[in-house]
Amino acid sequence: MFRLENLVYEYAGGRRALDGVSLQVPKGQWLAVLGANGSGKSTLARHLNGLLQPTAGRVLVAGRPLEEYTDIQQLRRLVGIVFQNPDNQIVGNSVEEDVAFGLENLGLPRPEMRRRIGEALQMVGLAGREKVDPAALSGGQKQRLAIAGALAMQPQALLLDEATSMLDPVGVAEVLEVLRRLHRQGLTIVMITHNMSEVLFCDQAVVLADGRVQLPPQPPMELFARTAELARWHIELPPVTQLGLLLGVEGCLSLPQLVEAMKSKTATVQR
Amino acid sequence: MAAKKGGIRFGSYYPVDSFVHRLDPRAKILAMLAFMVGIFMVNKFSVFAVVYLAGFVMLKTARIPLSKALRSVRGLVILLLFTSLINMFFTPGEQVLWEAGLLRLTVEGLERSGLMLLRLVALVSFSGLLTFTTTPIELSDALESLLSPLRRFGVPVHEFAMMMTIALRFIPVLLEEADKIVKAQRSRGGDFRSGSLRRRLNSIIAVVVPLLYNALKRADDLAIAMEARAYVGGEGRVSLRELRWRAMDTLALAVMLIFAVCLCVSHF
Amino acid sequence: MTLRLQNVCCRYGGEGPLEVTAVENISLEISRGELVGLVGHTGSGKSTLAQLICGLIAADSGDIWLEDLCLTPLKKRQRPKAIDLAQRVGMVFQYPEHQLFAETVAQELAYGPENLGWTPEEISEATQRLLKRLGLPPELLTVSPYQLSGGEKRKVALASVLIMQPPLLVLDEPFVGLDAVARQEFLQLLLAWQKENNSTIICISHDIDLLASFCQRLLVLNRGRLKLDAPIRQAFNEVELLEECGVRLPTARQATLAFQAAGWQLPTEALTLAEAAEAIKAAQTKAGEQIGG
Repeated sequence: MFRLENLVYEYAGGRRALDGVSLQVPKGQWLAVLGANGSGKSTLARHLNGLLQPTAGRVLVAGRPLEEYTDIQQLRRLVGIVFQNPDNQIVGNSVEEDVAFGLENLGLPRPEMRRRIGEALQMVGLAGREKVDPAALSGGQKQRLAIAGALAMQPQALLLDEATSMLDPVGVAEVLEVLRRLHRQGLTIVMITHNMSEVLFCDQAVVLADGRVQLPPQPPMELFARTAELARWHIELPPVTQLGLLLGVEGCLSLPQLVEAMKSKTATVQR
Repeated sequence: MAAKKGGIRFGSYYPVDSFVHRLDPRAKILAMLAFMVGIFMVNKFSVFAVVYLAGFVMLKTARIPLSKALRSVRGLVILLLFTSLINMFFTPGEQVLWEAGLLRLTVEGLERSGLMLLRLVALVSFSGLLTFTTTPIELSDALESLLSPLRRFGVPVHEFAMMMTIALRFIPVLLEEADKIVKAQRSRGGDFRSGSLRRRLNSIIAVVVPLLYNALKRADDLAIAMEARAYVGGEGRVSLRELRWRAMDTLALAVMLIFAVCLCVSHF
Repeated sequence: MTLRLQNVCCRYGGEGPLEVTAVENISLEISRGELVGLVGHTGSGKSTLAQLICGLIAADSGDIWLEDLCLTPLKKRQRPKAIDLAQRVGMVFQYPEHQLFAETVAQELAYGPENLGWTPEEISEATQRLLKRLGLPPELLTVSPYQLSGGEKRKVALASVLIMQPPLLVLDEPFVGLDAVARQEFLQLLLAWQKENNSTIICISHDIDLLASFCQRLLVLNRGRLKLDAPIRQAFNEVELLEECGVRLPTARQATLAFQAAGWQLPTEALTLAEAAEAIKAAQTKAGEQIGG
């Protein structure tokens, strides 16, 4: 779905936000992009739907390089994005109006618009709230609305740029649940985050720092076990994993897993 | 769950269902314009009686309580008082009732100020027929539609309408943020109401600057978000909301136009 | 600093977006130097309570006393002025962007003290001290707050409140959006300052692990009512109540409970991961002995 080859992005002053990133995201994969603030993860995400153009290197979306997408609307339709601030991406005066925004831009016929709006709202669990004023929604609901807005364009991939960092735990759970549903349906998801606990459901996770890939994409379980490296790149492990380390168990993802691991450890020791 | 109360946050929309509420907002705007022009032309008390009667009937049809319509006049009491006094005492006239220096109370003066009063009250209270029955969004859509012929002359009608709808959407957001900022600065001792002038000015700056800065940042973020959803301006854009002009809109507008013409004619 | 609330109710605060979540019948007392955590689901009234304590909104009924200052006088005219409040309580908000406004960092830090009537010398001295303590280079003083990095902005916003040395500090979700390193740094700065001034801290956060790591006392709000007010270790024993109120247990506690449920014998009073690890290791040895024979 996505392919980055030696991607470099330089700011006007010469500072490099991305310094040669090469990455592949197969169709249908849920990839988490981890990194401390300033590691370049947001910049990377914005190349994937053409919001930014590389200074050097190539970006291929669905097999075609960015330059080939002369009709930018085509690219936008292919790759949806949800941003960090729930309020600053909602344009409509009602839920259905906001979901309609992208469709209106594409000039679709109204019956088609209505159909897609209904489907998108159903997918994110906001069906029945078409007329609600966005100001009355909680943070989690607003982000789900933003996802619906992107889904209505029927993208093949969805980018989430720290979409949960301004939400409370309930909101985060709501958003993750929607993403899991979408993932099961085959949507490619690239999720930028610095919250390790969200990474549990992903297929793979990659770590960025200083504009470069420091730890290549790998399943979360494997990544969690690379304690020393994660500490080096300021990636905080989820509390359960940290506890596991204190008890000598590496790469632990959940409490039941930890209990099992400790139990078998004890039994082994006795034998 | 955590939702605050939403709803129409500002403006005077009165949410009931009525014939007037259901009219196409464009018809309402045009009808209101015609009505206003007509009211301006009235110069006889008897005709005003008809105007007021018509107005009350329309308010009743729109299911708007009279008290609500009259409440909008409250804000103008001072202006009304001022203009009537001026008209009462400074109108040149023949039949003098009372005199004191420059002030001269004449019958003509009374008549003139009476008419002016009735005119202003009518304009204000009956304008509610538009504002109480039409949401700000509908008004924006109607204006966009009515002004769209101007696009040919390069007037950015779509852009203005888009600005309107986005501004409306962000009013509660900005209000909430302003509230937070005011509180944040107050907790640092910032006070608009007491202290030296310099301090008070500084306190106002302490609220306005972050407000503006954040609003601009929002605009920036929003622009990127809109781009990401394929926004490229008004070309080729189809709006979900549709204004449908129906027979009853033509009828309502026609009736109002006839009435307005009659009012104009009554002037002579 | 004693903060005292007696039967405080606040029901309506505004219209639409400015509407205030109600709080009902809140009574509590907090003494000088206490570290208190305030938790509850979104909409439970935490922010309302925080703002009541800081005198930013007025209570409908009940009494609030900030040491010698009454925040709930009978006559509206006698309501405390902003300066009186700023001397006694400082509030740190979620986003520094709601606070930063001045042309330079120096002016930003001076805003509060100037309002309190400090002399330029006093302000300058306090600024220097605070910069050093927060690890900010003195060159920053002439820079515009808007040019700072996210972390620096937060520190400056914090500094601009701390500079007035409030005996009571209220923080409303100060850690949101910070990555792990920044969070710890912020917390350490806060605690160091608190120790020096023996200030009282009330911290609202939904990061329960973080609160568990430094708070001594926990207040739990649910639907505007104070459901729990207890020393932090005991507070987490009320498992059902916390669940009802939508408050998560800290991971350490969840872990010890999980092992207990699995049959191991261990105390379940842990607050930090380190404590939990110790308890589990001790239980492991015991369990091992049992298996061994």
